[in-house]
Amino acid sequence: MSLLVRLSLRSRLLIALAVIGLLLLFTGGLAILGVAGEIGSQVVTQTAAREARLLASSLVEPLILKDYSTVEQLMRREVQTAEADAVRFIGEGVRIEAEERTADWQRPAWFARLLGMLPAEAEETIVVGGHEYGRVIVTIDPGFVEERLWRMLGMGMMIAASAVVLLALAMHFILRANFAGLEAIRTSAQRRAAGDLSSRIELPEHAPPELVETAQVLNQARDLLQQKMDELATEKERWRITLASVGDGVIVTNADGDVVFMNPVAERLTAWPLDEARGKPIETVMPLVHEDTRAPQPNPARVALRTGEPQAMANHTLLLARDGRELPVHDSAAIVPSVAHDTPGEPCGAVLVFRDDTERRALLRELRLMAFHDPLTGLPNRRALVGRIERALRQVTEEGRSHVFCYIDLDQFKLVNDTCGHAAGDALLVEIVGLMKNAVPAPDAHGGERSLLARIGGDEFGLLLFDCSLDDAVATAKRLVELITTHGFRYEARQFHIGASVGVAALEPGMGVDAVLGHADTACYLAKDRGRGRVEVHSAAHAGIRALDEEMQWVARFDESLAAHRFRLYRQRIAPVAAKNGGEHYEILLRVLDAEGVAGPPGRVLSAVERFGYAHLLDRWVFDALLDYLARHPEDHAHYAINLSGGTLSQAEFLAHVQQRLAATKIAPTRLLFEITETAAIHHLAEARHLIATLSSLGCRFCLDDFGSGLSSFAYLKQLPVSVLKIDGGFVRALHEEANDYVIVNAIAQIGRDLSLEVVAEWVENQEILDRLAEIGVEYVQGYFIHRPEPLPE
Amino acid sequence: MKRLAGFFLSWLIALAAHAWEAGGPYPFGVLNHRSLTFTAEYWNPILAWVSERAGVKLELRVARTANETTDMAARGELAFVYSNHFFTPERAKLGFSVLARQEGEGIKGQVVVRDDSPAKRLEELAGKKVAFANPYGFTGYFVPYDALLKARVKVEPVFAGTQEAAMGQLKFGQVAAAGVNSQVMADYAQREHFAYRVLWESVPYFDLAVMAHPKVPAAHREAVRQAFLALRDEGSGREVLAEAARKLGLEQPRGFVMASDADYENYRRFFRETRVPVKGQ
Repeated sequence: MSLLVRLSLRSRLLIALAVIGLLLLFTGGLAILGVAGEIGSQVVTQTAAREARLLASSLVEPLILKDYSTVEQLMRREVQTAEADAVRFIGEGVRIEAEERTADWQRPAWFARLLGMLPAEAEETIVVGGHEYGRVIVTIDPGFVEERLWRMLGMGMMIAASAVVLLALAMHFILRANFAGLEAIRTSAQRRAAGDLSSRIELPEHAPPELVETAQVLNQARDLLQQKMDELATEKERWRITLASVGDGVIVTNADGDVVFMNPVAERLTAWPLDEARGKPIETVMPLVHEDTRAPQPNPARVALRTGEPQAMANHTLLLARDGRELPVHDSAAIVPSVAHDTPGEPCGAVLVFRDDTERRALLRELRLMAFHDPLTGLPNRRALVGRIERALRQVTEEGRSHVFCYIDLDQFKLVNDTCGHAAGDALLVEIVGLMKNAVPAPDAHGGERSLLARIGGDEFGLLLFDCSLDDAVATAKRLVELITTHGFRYEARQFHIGASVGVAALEPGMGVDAVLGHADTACYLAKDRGRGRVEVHSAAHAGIRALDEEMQWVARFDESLAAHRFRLYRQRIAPVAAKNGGEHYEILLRVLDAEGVAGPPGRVLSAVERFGYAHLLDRWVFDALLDYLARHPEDHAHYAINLSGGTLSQAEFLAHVQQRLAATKIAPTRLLFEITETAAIHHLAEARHLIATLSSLGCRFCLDDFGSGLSSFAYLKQLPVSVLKIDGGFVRALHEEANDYVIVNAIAQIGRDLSLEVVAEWVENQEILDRLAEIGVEYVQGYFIHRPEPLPE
Repeated sequence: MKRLAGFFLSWLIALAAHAWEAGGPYPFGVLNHRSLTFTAEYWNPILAWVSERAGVKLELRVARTANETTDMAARGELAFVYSNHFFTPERAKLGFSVLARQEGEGIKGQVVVRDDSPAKRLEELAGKKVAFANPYGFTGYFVPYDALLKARVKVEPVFAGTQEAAMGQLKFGQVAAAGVNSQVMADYAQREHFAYRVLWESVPYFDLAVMAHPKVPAAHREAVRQAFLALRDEGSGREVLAEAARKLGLEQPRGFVMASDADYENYRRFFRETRVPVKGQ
């Protein structure tokens, strides 16, 4: 049985066919022999009958002739030459017999027994014309038939044996040809089982359609599997590269929490190579502790595996790397659900993603610092100051403590910034802050806070003095002013003298932060206004403070005044000293109608709107009003000068507005002269240069107003492409009396000539001044002596 | 010695010839006009009926040829014969007497050729083979050959053994003509669908006669004569005749009628006048 089990399918088929063939041969042979015996018996019987008939017919004539000798001869010939073994004739009174000895048959006796044939006897009566001549009896032994059947059997056995051999050969080749495809399928299946998916089933030609169909299905399955494997490999490579490329550390564990994968970042952060980490518990590879308590922290991957929920790590976690480093890390973990068909959705592992949080946490600290500190000086910034003032105000209100706030504004800082660049400005600020830090009250012996120095913005600083009297505060402020003023700032071989103005305001119960800052700012402005380098204390009774308050009220009413047309344009002629043929020149002056409708000088209106940032609106109104006038009076061909404030210079919209209006009114730009003060130009140097260059290209001209009263820096003169210099009236008014003024005016006039600039002297109030100016060679003059301002014609 | 042996043989023959005289069936010889089997099939039923009717047992006896049959009769081996060979001068001496004859107008001797033969006259047969039944045949040899001789036509006689054998040779082209019995020829042509043409024909002669040996008792002779005559008169006899005629393919059965030696005088006269040698017959 075991031998049969080991037999191949082809051998089994061959054996089965052989057994079936032998059985068929045996049973068929028996059946054929049985049939052959019956047929043989019939043949013997029929042969006996035929021989009897033939013999009888041949005996007719001899019997008619009563030629019994011939009869006997014919009977003997019958037994000798035909199949008959014995012949008898029985006639009336006549009996003749002939017999032949039985031949020696070759067929075996058992064969004769198997056939079961018996001797046959046939009798034929000879009657002619109703007369019976006698009977012929023929006896035939079946031996001749048995002999023929025996020979046929031998031949049949040979044919059958040959057929069996041929059939076996044919079956062998047929099975081999048909099983070749099956063998190809089996070989391919074995290769695939061994992991070789590259093998395709190649069937021989003319393979059975079942095998062809099976091979096609298996090849399709193989192609599909190969495609899936390729996709899986591609996906795996993609994920490997992705994981290797990401900046975060990634650790993958199995369901037991043992490491199965780490990307390079994870290897670097934990200092564990993947080969060594693989199979180790996640806690071994990635031990976590609390950054403050040093207590071990549960690993998120472990927690995720236990709970089945995604986990995020607290921000206070430290990773204890294998090499001794302690890294703040930020991480999260999630389970990997199984996709196996028998355990779908069950956790088969966890993915832990973490990153080095060192930089982020440092950045957070820095951002926190930056939010309340000035990065340049390291001082608390305005936000920190406001918060501290709020707290201080609560202390004042609730605790009755006395705190004072000082508003410190550096003088000449912009000069350094503009002339030497921002780097110089920054260096100056750092130096000044260093001075101030040393000068403000230091914390007391208990570490108690006594002062807070903050940078409010630009060159403005705030100093909050805690538990400090107003006088002590003023003293401290003055000490600071003194230190700053006496401190010589050098930058690239240049020496600058910086000053400071300080406004002091006491924190009083009920005040708000804005009020504290406003009071100190107002006092500081007053200090600046009064000549800089001063310390002013805010007090409601202070005259200067009140004046400033009035200006503020003016500003508050500015829009209202514009709307009420309370501003009027006047003009004052600018005349050439010598007779010239250049047409008339006027300067546009602004007048304000008072409550009674009487026009008066703008006075503090101008300084107020300029201080509080509304000057550009006023300048724009003046410009529009002049152009409206010129448009209405085409007969007026005079040239007009308009004053522009510093704030206007920085308004890009103003430049576009001028261009648009000039184009719209078609007023010749050459009739317009814009006067800008040296101070305004310095504060907005870049914008001023752009404005001058742009409008000059249209034909407008520019005049540097009040020249000599400000910095009088020739450097500015060089940088500002003006065509007219207007000497500050302060030098002109006492020209005939003050020698210094004469010298200055003469020098300015000389500069104008040397630079091919037209020079205008204002405030010419008498003939003597005019004469002196003529001596000096000033070309144009302006003042009450020349022409008293008049309203522009309606 | 030879003479002694011949005498002894004749004695034995005579002894044997007279065997039927001691009793037992009378041998009835029939002239071989047809094959042995046809002859037996025709005559056995008739003889059986006549034997039954006459109360005289008759047994058909024929030799292989007509001559041998005639010789058997000449040797006294036959008690009755159905023949016309016993009107020659020699055989007339044997004493056979006529009892009856086959009904009909009689037979004629004819010289016939195939219907497609070019011969139109006897002279055109000169030098050619002409078949005859046997040298003893009257209408099958003597009458037609006598006509050829009288017409001075010299032919090459061929003896076929029987009338139908001669006709067979003519049918299959072995001879140019045949001398035949007109009746037998007509029967043969009808049976075998053979077309022939008659070149010459004799006067009619009565057909063969049933004759009795002189040693047959007169009562038996008469009984046999009456039985033959009763064949066509009785129903069973007619049936036998009809069956016998059917086997030979004859259109009409032929019975037997009363006849005597006088009815065959023209035979005797022919033999006296014929130019055909008849010596020994």
